[in-house]
Amino acid sequence: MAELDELDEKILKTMAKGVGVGARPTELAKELSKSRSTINLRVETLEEKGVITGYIPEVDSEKLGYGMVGFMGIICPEEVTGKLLRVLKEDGSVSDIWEITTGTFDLLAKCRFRNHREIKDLRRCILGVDGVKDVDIYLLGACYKEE
Amino acid sequence: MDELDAKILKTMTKGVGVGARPTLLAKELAKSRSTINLRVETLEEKGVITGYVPEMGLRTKLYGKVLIVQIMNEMGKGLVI
Repeated sequence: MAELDELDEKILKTMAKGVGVGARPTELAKELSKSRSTINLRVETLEEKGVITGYIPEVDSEKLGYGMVGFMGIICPEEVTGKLLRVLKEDGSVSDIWEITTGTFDLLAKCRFRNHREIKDLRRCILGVDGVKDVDIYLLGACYKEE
Repeated sequence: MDELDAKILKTMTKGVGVGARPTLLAKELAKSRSTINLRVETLEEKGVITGYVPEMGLRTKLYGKVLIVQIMNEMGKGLVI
């Protein structure tokens, strides 16, 4: 596990929000053998059109002490979703949240945990939101394919 | 959207051509650029930050490569990435 101080954490949090990360047109131009101005214009257009919505760092959860990674499915009626999303967005164990359009669950979240207590805490916190029907947490084991 | 756009997206998805912007970070966090630069480099060296990628909406985040293939197909190129 890497030793991180407050500033390191602030940097990671800021970057995760998409601030302080960006395209490197010079690097792209070199890689694709095009001029910097051509690439610059293309990237700007892709950003303006909303094809690229932002840039984020890829972070190794294990290095941050999060030894356990998993997915959490939540069953809840639509009218509860707004309130639940506010809770999930604030929770440090939750990194990504998706709406599910098919299947058993209504929301799916990617989570990381430092210990078993954090898993129990998250479960309790979500079941504490009025209207939530069920929570299922799946901790991941070996990864067999990652693209 | 043409072939070059698709190439740019493909290259960025591999983590090439995307990176930290220490000046912006320094401004946001009210620290000097050199402090932030050193911190970011250390986070990269320690492997806490493994790379940088573009975000292309929900579906792309889940199926980045599929979307690029779709874009290519819409362009009628039918290229396999």
